[in-house]
Amino acid sequence: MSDGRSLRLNLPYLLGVYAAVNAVRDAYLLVDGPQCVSFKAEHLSGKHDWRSSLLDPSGFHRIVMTGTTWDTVTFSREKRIESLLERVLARPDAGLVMVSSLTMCGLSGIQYDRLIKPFGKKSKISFLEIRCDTLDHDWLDGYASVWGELAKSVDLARAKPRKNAVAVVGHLMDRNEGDQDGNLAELARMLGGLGLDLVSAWPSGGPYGALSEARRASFVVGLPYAREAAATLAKRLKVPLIETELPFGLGASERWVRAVAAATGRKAAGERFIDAELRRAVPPLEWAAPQVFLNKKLLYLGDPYLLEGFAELSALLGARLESAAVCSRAGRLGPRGLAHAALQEPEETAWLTATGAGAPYDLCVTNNVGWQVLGLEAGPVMEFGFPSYFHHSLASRPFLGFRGFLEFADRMAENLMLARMRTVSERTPA
Amino acid sequence: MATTRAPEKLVFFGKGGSGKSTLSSNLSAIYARSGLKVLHVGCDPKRDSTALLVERPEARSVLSRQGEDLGVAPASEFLMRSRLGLDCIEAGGPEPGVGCAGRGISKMIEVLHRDRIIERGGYDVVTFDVLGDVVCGGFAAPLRLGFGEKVVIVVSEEAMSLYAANNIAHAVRNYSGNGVGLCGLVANLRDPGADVGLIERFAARIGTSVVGVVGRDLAFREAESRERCLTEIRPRPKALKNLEEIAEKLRKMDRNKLTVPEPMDEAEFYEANRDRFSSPRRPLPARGPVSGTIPDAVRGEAAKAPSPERPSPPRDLDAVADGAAPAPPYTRWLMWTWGVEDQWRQFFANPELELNSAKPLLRDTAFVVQKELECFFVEARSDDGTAGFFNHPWPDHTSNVLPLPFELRRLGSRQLVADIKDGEVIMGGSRKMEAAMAGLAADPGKTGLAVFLTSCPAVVIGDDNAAVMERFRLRSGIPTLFPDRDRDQHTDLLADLFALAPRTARRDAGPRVNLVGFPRDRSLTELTALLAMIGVEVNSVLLPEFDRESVARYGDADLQVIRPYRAYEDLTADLFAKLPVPALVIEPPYGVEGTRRWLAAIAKSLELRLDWDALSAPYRARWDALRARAAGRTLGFICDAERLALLRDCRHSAGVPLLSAVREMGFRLEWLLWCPCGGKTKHPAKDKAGERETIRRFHSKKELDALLRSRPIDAVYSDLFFDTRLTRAGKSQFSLPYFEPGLDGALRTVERLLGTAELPLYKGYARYLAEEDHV
Repeated sequence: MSDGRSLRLNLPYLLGVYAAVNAVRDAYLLVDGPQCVSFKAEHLSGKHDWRSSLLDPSGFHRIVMTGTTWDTVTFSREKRIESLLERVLARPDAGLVMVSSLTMCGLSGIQYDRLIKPFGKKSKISFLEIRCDTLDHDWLDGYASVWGELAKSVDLARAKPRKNAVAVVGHLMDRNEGDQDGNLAELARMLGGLGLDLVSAWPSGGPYGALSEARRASFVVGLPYAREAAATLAKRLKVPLIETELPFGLGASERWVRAVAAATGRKAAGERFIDAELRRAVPPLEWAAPQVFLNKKLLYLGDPYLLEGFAELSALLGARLESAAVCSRAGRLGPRGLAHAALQEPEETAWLTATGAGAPYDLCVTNNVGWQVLGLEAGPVMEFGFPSYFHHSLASRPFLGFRGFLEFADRMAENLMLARMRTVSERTPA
Repeated sequence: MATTRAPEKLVFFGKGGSGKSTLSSNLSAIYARSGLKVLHVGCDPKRDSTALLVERPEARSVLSRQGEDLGVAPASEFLMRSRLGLDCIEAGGPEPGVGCAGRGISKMIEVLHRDRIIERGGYDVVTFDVLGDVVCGGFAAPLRLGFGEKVVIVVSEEAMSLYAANNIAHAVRNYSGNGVGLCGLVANLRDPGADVGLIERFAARIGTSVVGVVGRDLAFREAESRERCLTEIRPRPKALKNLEEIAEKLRKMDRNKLTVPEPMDEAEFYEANRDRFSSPRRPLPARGPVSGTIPDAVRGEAAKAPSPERPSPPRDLDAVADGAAPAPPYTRWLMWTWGVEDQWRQFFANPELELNSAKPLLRDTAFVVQKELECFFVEARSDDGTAGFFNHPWPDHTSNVLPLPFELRRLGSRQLVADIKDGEVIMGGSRKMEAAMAGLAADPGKTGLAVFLTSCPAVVIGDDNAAVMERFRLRSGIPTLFPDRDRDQHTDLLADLFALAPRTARRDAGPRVNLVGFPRDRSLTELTALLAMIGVEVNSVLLPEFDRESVARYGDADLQVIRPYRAYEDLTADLFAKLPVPALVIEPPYGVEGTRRWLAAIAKSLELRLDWDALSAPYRARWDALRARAAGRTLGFICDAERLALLRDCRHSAGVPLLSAVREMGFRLEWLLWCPCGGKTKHPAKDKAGERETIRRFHSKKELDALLRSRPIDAVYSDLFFDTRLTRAGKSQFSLPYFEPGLDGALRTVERLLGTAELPLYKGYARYLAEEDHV
């Protein structure tokens, strides 16, 4: 076969922007572009997030589009944009309005920042421009870009840091379901274990105004999905920034607690908390590791920041990560991810080659993109990460932190045992 | 010596060949010689702005291709130090005839901004030398916030040079909100004896003045031939003094006191030009805010109502923005329009459902796709087994995109992607396309067909992809199709396949029919069996799925049985109706009676006998029992008079005769009908089915909400899956995917409808469904 290019396994910039908008309950995003920018919201609203409010049956979607197409992009459309902004402004539930565009429209030279300026002046609602970077940037850039802008604009007037109060910035709240609710609760619980109080999580699924609660923080913990935003917020608040990895997996959760504990002067409390957590998290693994995980061959495709913990977690339980790839441009993997020679933004054919194109494996942990490429021909798939169209969380089911570690290991064990059940059924003579 | 104050930012515009680069380079050199720290920015894809300042072998540009990505490297890598002590940077850009140079300029400005080159450089003066006339937003990028502030237009006495200057004045006016102002004109005379007064009058006419006049001087020619500035020519040329004065004047102009020009419109320009700008200007019309509008001619065209026979995207975008209802409901797009005032009462989504009406299952095909990554994530696919925002009629059998990658592999097909990144927009995407096609031509494997699918960004770039594909076809001998992107690409592809299909020899066996508009699922298998019972063989099935084999044998049939569906009407008229096979466009077999009518019509067309009693006997008892259960349940429709009329025409509901089907199944129906306030629209008090159908009217959202909460309706029709308007009011919903054709399909349909009508969740717990606050 030819060496023609195949699909890049990555997610686009605007999808990341939408994920951020989805996580701020009263945020609206006007996108200068054709109707596809509305349809794109379906990937989140309904497909990935059953509790999303991005799309509205009554037509007041939180993603607003101008309808500019390739044949109307040549004309000025400032009036139309202003008219739409007026109407969004009139929505009773609007707390924040952002404006962005597809590159196709952005390159025509419209100055969105100039258009929104008068609206910001005449209303209490914040208006922000999210730069249009759809061609060369990916979903994680889009997500970080929104939080970067929010960190610059959120109202921090009368900031009064309170002792022990922490703001966590840069969590990937890609949906409003139980997994992410659980993650937030777990972050709050881990901070609580150190005697710290989570006063603001960016994002949390709440309204824009709730972000201002960060003004009470005396520390900002920055997670990988919005490093710049965390730094900006800490700088504006004049409080210490604690940059941490994602607490995904047992080892990463331990390191996370230690990092926060060290930066806040709570080392002893941190060790006590970790010890208590390990006492709960480790015993269930005693027989699960050899029974379920040991020597299992795993594949991974998805979020680069989750690969780090996944690789470590797999190794801890005795499973072998045979092949890994991330839906991300290069430059986001830390040493643990790179140690697995992970492909970054691989093409479809490269990913298939790396996975052995049908070689048997025990479980492929992947987002929906990986499933679309692999199907189930070569082995069982556990959908995980953004986007997940088949896996949803009706109940609180974290995957971050110590509790999240056990929940995640539990999910993996269930999938691996189900696959074994299937194998045995197929083997048994009729 | 560098200062800490903000630099003077001069932007030179002017018609091509007016001497911008010569003037701006010389001025940069003069500023540098006077001890100022200068950055000279060339905004021209020809990369010749710095020709007088930097030795050519050293010249490099921001937009020279560095592998895949343009503009990724830090801008500082492209800074060139001139022998004259100033810094230079060139945008560069595509080869002539490809790509988008405007985007290139824009990209360079983004890179300068990203890397804070101007701020960090501590420059006193930054000069931007911009290509030709202002031709698009890309070339106006140096006028964006934080960049150019003082615009200088270089003009000659020629009419077209003044015309360009007038256009540039429009751009300056548009960007004046950024603090951009016009310093004035620099006259660079072509004819030494030209009338400078003409340029002065023109300047006065647009509200500015002539800052300086550059006459013909052989020193310029000599300096240019030696690739040097006037400051380097010995003995010191006379013209240098003049330039120094201009330089000083421009630098000293207070950027806060610059004027916003009052350019002429085109007609006024030509009229004034005829009398050499000597007549006084007409009083200026009051000017509104500085922004453009869609021209009247386009507005007029856009305002035309879409044809009621075929939904098309609304073009009257201003009307959309204003919240007006631009089209009747059956052409209304729920996703295209935002916040249309009456959308709260719309429960039907024809255009969106009709967008998704076909799925190509083509074997051994290379789909060549030129898109940006965003375009691969447009509408979420409907055929992956998970729900989307809309209830597509056959979610597993239609797709707005290509089949899933693993499905493609099973078909022996693949997707070749020539994806569009910034580099392709700026430099053109044909090279990538050529590479992909060359690879395929060199090693085609089993590829028997190449299909090119394009996208909006590809159209905007304007690559000549048809030529690339044609060259590929000639080189490889592989048939190549290029479906029309302005229509539904999948149905258009089906039409194209007919042009390629070999004719299959006629077989002599019994009567055969082609079915159009029947998803390939179990109900098709059951219909095939029913047809076999009356002696009819199914020859070919097309749409929603289609494949080349079915197209190839399509001509070998005695009858085409076509589902009446608006999404297929163009194809029916343009293709199926023109084939030499009789066509029967008939309501599909939904419900028991519908199935009888359908089979009877086919039997009649083929002169066959239908023994309906024998055929339907096995189903009767079960059907009657289900009907008895259905009699205790009420289904609801929310609509207005127009939609009510459309519900009687199955073309508007994917060929599913919704009304006759649910009536035959024995459900009670309740109509919630919208009446405009004032009550001019007359609705019937009862539908013709009589007492089993109730009509309630509403005038407002509040009334509808109240009716939904109070009326004993078990399930309400909606084309939206996540229709919180219904669930929060305690109602289940039903929609097109509930309906299946044939006798077995009729039984399953009633069971499914009873399932949703009897669902206790919403009835019992609706008040708890509102979202609670998160952490």
